[in-house]
Amino acid sequence: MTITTKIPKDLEARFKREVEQLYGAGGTAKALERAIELWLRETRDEMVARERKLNNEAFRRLQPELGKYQGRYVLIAHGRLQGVGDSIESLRNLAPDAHHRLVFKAGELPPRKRRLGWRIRRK
Amino acid sequence: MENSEKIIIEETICWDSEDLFAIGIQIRTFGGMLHSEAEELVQLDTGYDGELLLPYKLYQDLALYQWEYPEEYWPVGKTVSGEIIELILAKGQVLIPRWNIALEVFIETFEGNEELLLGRSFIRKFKVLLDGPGNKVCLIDSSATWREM
Repeated sequence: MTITTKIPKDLEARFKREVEQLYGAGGTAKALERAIELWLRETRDEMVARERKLNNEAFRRLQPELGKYQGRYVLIAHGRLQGVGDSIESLRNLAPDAHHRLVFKAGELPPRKRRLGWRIRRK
Repeated sequence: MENSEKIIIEETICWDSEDLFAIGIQIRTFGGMLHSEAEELVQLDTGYDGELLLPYKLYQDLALYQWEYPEEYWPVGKTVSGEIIELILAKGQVLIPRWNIALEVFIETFEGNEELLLGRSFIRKFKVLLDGPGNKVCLIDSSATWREM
């Protein structure tokens, strides 16, 4: 991919200085590659966070009527109920363009408390 | 677990384990994403009472947020030092390639976590031999219900 673009002079100077220090000559491509990867990850995380919020709001709204799907798998995406299936695999192809999906077995209550053991601590 | 079948396994499988007690697994999402190419040794941790704890980055790389449980069901974890951590919850599969089986498991993580662990709820599905003098860990058989890979 070849892109030609202009960036502010002070940004360019800072960028060149840091690239030179970190990677030496010819490090520009490496730095740009890393920048694109970081941007993609950050954008993905933002989209996931946004849709996670939307889907959890939908779950709370739908909760009173989920009892009728007891024991079946439910999928929520794009802030609404997308489908119900007898297996989790049967929901695989629903809302494929969603960045985040809630998939759960209606009526199942996973344990709410966990002991994390001696290896785990917050970094 | 729907569509599952019970398979009687008589063969005992063992992994060399000089330091940590670990078994060889792969992790698969219901979307078909796989970690890793071949089996990876993952530590059995009797101090963690869940099934599978993933590093946060691996949770993201496997796009497990596509198979996530609602926040209402997310567990609260407590560390040995009393620290309280809210865990993210999703479902996926643990594969044991040498037995050719897949188990549906609850997967947990939290932001910043770098540990990959199999906990007590997973271990309880099997008879496990921790052979210290022999430097190995063996799965003997199980009463668990699972499906073929």
